[in-house]
Amino acid sequence: MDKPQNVDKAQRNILYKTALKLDWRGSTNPFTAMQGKRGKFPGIVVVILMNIFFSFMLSMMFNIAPSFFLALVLASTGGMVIIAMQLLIEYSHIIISPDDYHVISPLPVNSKTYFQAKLYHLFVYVSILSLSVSFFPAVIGSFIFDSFIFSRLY
Amino acid sequence: MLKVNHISRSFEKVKAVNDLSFEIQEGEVFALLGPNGSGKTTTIKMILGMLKPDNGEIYFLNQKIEPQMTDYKREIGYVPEQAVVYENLTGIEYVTFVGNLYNLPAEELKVKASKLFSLLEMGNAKEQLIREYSKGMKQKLLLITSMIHNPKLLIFDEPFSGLDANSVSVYKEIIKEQVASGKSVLFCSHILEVVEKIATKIMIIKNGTELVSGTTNEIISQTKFDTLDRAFNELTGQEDIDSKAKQIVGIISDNNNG
Repeated sequence: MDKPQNVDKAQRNILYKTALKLDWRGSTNPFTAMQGKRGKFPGIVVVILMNIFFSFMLSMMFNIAPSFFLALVLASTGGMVIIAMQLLIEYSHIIISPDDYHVISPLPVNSKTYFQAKLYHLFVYVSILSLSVSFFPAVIGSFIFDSFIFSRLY
Repeated sequence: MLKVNHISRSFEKVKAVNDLSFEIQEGEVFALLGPNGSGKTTTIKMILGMLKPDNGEIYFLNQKIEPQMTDYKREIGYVPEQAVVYENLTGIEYVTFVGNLYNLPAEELKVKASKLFSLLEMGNAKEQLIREYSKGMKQKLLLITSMIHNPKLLIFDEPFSGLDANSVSVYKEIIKEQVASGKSVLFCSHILEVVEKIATKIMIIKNGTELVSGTTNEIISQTKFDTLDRAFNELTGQEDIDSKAKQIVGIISDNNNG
């Protein structure tokens, strides 16, 4: 009789916290990989700084956007494209990591636990990226259109 | 302890392992030998549950491994051929990570890890990032993680690669001590002098198929040679090694002259 596999919460927490620690210390992102071993900043910090720069550029377009609605669409679309591109660049690290197969598969971690840990990691990672990419458009949009509804909608 | 029953595994058209069977008893050191590409690592990966056999079954303590894979993996320690680890963790963080996945108590884990790092002469390196480790240091780290949970069966795939002579001696003694305490060891190695000294049973495979198995003496007695490495060469079809070496050197010399 097959034993049902449940999520081991302790293992899940260890897995996703370690994944976040690895994000903090290094990255497969080519921009951060160029720093090599002696990089001054953790990989994810470089990604966040880049996102802030892109989002600032994005929010500069609000000056020429003819309407509140178009600015909202532009900011949302731009943010989503940036996040999607970053996820594609970091695909082998964030979504499916070949190292995980070698490190985790001989260990007593069932697939449900691993899947949930990956999902948590992805959620936190995307949240960090989303926050960094939407901060400037939300604040600048609210001032330009003189309405905090912009930031709420965004 | 471990029973491998007629397992086979193919990768597209290549048959990596073909109808392989063996048994490892408690307190036994079982060496799986074979030339490169003979199916040793594939066999080990099937035993570890990292690959599913196309045919055959694997039993651990008289139970099929598949339905209880997580419980089964708690009883196994593994050192892979290639040291793939999370290189951006420090040595102690990695050992703690693995120990936590085995649900070891934090205090016990800390004490054990510190002692093992010191005994393997890595006490100063435990706070260093693994990406700064040498190959031998990574092998030692993997040795620590393979034993930290006190497994019943240790599986070592080329455990001596990258290790200095002293570390190989330590490894050999660890294997002997583990076996003396009733544990079993399955390992692959190309260093046949070491295999000869520590293995209680040997199986030689080629193209995924068993050529011969038994004790060192039993295997040697089936050939005209008196050492395991010569017997291994003969059994795996590498008899004329001297002439091959001369031919290779000859080709290189010709190129240099030409």
